Amino acid sequence: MNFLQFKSFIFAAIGLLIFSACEKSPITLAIHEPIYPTGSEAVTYTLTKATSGDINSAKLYETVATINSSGTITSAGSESLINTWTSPSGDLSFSKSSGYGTNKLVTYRFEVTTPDQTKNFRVTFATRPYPVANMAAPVYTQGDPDDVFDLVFIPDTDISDMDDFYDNCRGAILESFFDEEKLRFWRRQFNFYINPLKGTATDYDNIATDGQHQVPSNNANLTWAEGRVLMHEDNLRDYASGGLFSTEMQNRGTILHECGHAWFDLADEYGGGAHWEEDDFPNNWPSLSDAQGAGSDYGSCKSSADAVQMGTSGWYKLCVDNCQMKATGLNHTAYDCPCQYRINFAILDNAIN
Amino acid sequence: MKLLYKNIFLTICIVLSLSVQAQEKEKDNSNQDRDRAEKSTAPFSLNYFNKPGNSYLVLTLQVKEGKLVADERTKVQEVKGKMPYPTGNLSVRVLDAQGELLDQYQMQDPLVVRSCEDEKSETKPVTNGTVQIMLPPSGNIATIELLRDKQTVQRISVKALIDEYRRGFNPPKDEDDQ
Repeated sequence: MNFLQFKSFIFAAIGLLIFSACEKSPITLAIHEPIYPTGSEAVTYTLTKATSGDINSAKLYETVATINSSGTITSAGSESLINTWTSPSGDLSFSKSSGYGTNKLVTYRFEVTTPDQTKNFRVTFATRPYPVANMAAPVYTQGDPDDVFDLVFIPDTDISDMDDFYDNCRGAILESFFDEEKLRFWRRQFNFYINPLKGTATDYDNIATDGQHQVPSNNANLTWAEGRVLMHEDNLRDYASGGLFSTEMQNRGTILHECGHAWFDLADEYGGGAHWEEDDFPNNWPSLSDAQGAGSDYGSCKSSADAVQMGTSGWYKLCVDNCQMKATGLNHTAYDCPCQYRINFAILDNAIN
Repeated sequence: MKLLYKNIFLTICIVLSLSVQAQEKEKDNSNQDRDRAEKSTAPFSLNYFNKPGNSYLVLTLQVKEGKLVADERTKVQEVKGKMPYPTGNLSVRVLDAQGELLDQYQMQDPLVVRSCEDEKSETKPVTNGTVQIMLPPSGNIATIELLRDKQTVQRISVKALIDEYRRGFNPPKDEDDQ
């Protein structure tokens, strides 16, 4: 073997390594728009390929049920095929030009066949206004609420344009939860709702004068959800208490950071944060030796050398500095390995127990 | 020189092979976990919130000077759905009149406010306000005990509130009604 052959081999080997790390089937994301349509609005369904790969064929089905003000399903509807695609090249899209009418719960199902498998993505949403008094409207629900993580979007009284709020709810689903790699992997384990009643967020620095967040009057009816987010327009110093947290509605990072706490019990990863050690798959450790000892639990992702103290807190972490549990704000980052392991554990535990 | 290339070649082969194997194993494990979770997850039921027996209680209490108090604004409500997946560092122990444990679960601490913004994290206790605590729908509930870091924060007797709520929910018939 001469040097040239040797170099070629190295490139080929690296190529093989990269190829083997890719998914054979594309990762696909099913979503509709508007996320919470009125009864007369057209609805567009899309299936976006988040990674490259082939789709052999796809079918889109819908079921339209009717719900009354007591929450009883008065007509379950039946599933019907509304579109098919054969060997589509790009993303899939289909618009239903006529609205679904009032008091409807629409379930759509993309059946996607790739070279590897056939997968189904089933999503239910309500049309606006939701007729069931004091209950949050399902806007992107997939699984039984007992088996998945639920998040209720609550509009703030400061929002001047509710369409902006609805767009940001969709934006949060698509640009936060379905964009972060680990959560995207688990994308079928989350439900999202919109509360018809508003709350009012206050600024952390003004709690003494303004009081805590004013929760919507139906707040007790939302306590089944693991997370409740009060989305506001004004610039505030946000805070959380008792499963309710606030954020500027366009902040894709804050919502993921706070769901890290509310859904998965992840601790903060900066000095002044809230620290604790979970029994299963923690992301904080109370001593350097504990963190170093855990360094070998994450395969090649971490080692004992990654253990570092968070400020002068006396608590230690293994995650990188831009892990989502360190970052908040406009843009999201990603959960690093220790957080990912905790997320895997919590999602599986919630689903099977 | 040839021998050196050969050795480097073999070492790289072994390292790449192990690395690919480790990645594949990790991916397989993750995919198996996801398949297991997805198979265990029932589809969203349109009448989930109307299923008989699918409810629990929510106790709304006031916080005054950092302590939970039951006053005229305290209320008990039956809520549709099931209690959420337990997360958080406040442990709630639900006890009967004999002090026997009926239920225990974790919740996000409603007695503390926590700001994470801009890494200027800060927490402070709630001195005044309202909190909501979930309770199982049935059982002879007498006391709730709140614990943080295994230390008891507060014990609250709720027997009278629960009894009053249940009487209101199923009011006894007056003699006049008979």
